[in-house]
Amino acid sequence: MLDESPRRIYSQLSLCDTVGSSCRLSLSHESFKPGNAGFVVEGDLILYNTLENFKAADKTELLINLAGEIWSLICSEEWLENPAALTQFFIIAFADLKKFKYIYWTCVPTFVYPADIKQEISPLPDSSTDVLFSYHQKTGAPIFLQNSTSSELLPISALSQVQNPDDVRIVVADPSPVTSAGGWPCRNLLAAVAYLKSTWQHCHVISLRRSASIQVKYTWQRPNDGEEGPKPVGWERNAQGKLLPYYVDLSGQFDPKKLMEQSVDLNLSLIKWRLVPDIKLERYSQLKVLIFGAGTLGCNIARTLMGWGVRRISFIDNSNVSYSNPVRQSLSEFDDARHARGKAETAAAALKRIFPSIDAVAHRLTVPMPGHTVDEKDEKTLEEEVEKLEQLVKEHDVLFLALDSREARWLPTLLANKHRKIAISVALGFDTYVIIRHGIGFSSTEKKSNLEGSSSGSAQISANEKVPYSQLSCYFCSDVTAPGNSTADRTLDQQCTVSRPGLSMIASGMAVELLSSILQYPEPLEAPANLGEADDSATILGAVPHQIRGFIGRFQQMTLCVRRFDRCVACGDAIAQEFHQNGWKFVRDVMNSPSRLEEVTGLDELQNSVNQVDIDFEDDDSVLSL
Amino acid sequence: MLTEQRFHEEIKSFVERMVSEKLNWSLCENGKYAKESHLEQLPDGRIISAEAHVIYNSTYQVPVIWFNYFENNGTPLQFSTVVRDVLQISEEESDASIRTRISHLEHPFLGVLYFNIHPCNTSGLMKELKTDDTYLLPWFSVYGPQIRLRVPTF
Repeated sequence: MLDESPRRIYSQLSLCDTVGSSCRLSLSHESFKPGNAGFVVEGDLILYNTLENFKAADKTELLINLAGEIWSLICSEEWLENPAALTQFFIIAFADLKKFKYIYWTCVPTFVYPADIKQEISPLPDSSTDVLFSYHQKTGAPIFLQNSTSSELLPISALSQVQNPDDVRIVVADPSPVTSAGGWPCRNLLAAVAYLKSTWQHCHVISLRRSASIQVKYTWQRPNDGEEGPKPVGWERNAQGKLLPYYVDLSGQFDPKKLMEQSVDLNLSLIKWRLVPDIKLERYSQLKVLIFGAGTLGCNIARTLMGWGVRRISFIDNSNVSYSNPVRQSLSEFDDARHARGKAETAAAALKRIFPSIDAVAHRLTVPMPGHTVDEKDEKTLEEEVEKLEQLVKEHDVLFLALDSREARWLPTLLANKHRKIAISVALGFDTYVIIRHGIGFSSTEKKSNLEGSSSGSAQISANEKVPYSQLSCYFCSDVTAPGNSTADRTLDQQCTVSRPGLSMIASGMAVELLSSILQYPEPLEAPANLGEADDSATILGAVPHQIRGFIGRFQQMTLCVRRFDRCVACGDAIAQEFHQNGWKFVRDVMNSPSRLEEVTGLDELQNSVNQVDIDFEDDDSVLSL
Repeated sequence: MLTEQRFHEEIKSFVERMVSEKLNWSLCENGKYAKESHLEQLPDGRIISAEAHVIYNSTYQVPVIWFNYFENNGTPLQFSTVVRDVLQISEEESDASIRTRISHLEHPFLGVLYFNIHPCNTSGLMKELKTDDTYLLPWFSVYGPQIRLRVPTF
C-alpha cells in the first residue's frame, strides 16, 4: 500500500479576478513547495490508493476534523497571531493513472456562525486601497486592521484591545471576483470576530482586491452563550450545484497515444493554415486504403499514407519476410526475417508501433493469377479467395497495386473496375518506374454514352483535351496479349525484383502524392487527366496526371495520358461481363488458360487479323513485369 | 537579442512593475520565469483560468510567451477552442495572424503541453523597436496583447 497520509500543499490566491462567481483556489506543480510568492493559503492533499478508499472516506468526519482545528484556533485566540490559518482547505483525490481519469473533491471549512449575518456594501475607489495593498504585500498578512480615524495600519492582533467596533476596519485579502458580497475568507473571519467580541453585533470589513474593493458593514445576531462548536460546512459543489466530487478525464492531455494523434493532426493542419487553406484533410483521415503487396513498395506507400493522416490501411500478401527484405522494406527488421513472419502481418504490426492509433490490418492471401494453374482439389480455396478479395475491395476506397508480378495485378484491376474504386499501379524496373491511376469503372448511368464517345473521340487528339477518369487506361490496356505466368521458366535472379534501391521510395512517394492530389478534386472519382502537359491548376495541390514514368538513369520523369482500350484483358467490358456471369469460375478458367482472356475480349481475332505480323509490344512493360 | 543574464535581471523588475500595475504576476522557480494568471469568461459563459509564462529561450536568445487555458476542474482547453473562443482569431484571418505561429509544445519547466508563440520573428522585431534601457517591457507590449494580456501604460 502506498502512503495515504495527507501531503501539505500551498495555493496561491489571486486578488485580480473580476469574472465568475467564486473564489479561485488554484494549484499547480509548485503547490507542493512552500515559499511561493504572493498570497498563499495552506491545505492538505489526501490521495487515496483506490477508488473504493476514496468513496469510503468519511466526508463528514474529514470536514469536522479540520473545522475543529480551526475552531480551536478561534477559541484560543491563536488566530490573532496567525490569521492565515483561518482559511485552510483539503482535497481528497483518486488518480487512475492508467486511464488518466481523476476524481477529486475540495473542502474549505467554514462555520454557520454567527447567526443571521447581513451585509451593507459600499464600493471603495482603487486610489484609497493602494496603501492597503502595499501593506498586504510588504507583510504578507491576509488580515489586518485599519484605524478608522487615523487610518493607521496594524496587525490583526491589535484587535483584542479594540473596544468599539466602529473604531477599526478589518482588512481581508479577498480573492472573490464578486462585488456584491464578501468572499469565502470573510466567513471564518466573522466567526472569529463574533466569538472574540461576544458583545459586538456588527463590524466593518474591507474586502481588498486589485480592483473593485468593497467595504462591508456586517451585522449579526448575538450568538447564544455556552454553545458548542458551530456547525461547519465547506465541501465544494460541482458544476451542477450538487455536493458531489469532480471527475476529470485528462487522457486527451496525458495519454501518449492521444498526444501523438493530436500532434499528427496539428502538423497536418499546418498545411491547411499556412499553405493550402482549402485543403480537405478529412479526405485522408477517413480514407480506407488496401495495399496489394507488403514489399518495398507496399511498405513505403503505407508510410507515406500515414504522413497524410490516413488512419485505415490494410495489406494483402501471402509471403514471409526473408533475409534480403529488411534493408529495403521499410517496415520489416532482422527479427521478422529470422522468425519468417508474414510480410503483411509484419507491415501492419510496424505501422501500429510507429503510430498506435492507426487501424492497420493484415490479410494473408494469395491473389489468383492468370497462368498459375489451379488443381481441382484447390478450387474450393480459390472460390473463397476470390470472394474474400472482392469483399476487401468493396470495403476500401483506394487500392494500391504494388505486387511484384504483372499477372498478380490482373484480378485486383478487374475488381477495382467492377466496384469503381480508385486503383493505382506502381511498378519498378531496374532504373525506371511507372505509376498509373487506372480508369475508374463506368457508373451504370454513364456507361453507354461514354463508350460511344470513346470510339469517336480517340481519333482526334488535342493537347489540352481532358480525358474523363472513366476513359483512362488501366495497367493492362496497352497489351495485346493476355498476362501469363511470368515466373515460369525463369532463373532465380530473373524472378527477383532487381531495382535501384531508391526507386521504391521515389515511386511510392509519387504514387501517394498522385492520390493526395486526386482526393482534392471536387469529385475525386471524376478527376480527368490532361492529354497534353499536366495541368497543375486541376486541384489545389496541382495536376492529376494519368501516368507518371520516371527514368533514374537520366533522372527524368514524364507524365502521360492513355485512353482506355475497350478490349482490355482486365478492364474491358467483355471481361466485366464474363466475371459478372461466372465469378470465380471465370477466374479459374483464366488461371488454367490465360488465352481465355483473348477469346473473351476478341483479342485473338485481332491477333489473327494481323497474322504473321510481329507485334512489338513495349519493352518497358516486359521489364516492369519482373 | 537578450542575454540570459540580462533576462534574469530584467524579469524581476518586470514582475515588480506588473504587480505595481495591479496585475497578477509572480516569479516562479526562484526567478527562472515569470507567471501571470487570471480568470476569463468565454462567449458561451464558461469561466476559464488563463495562464501566461515569460520564459527565456536560449536558442533564439529572446523571451518567449508560453500560455495555456484551463477549465475550472483543471482540464486544458482544446486548441480549436483556444483559437476560436479565447484568442478569437477567425479562420479567414491572414497568414500574418498569430494562429500560424502558435505551437503546442512541452513546457520547458513543467513538462506538460503548453502553447507558445514561436520566437523566430522576435529578434528582428525587437531591432526595430530600439530597446536601449529595457527589453522585456517593449517586448511584452508587442507579445502580451497577441494573447489578450493586459499591458501597463508606459
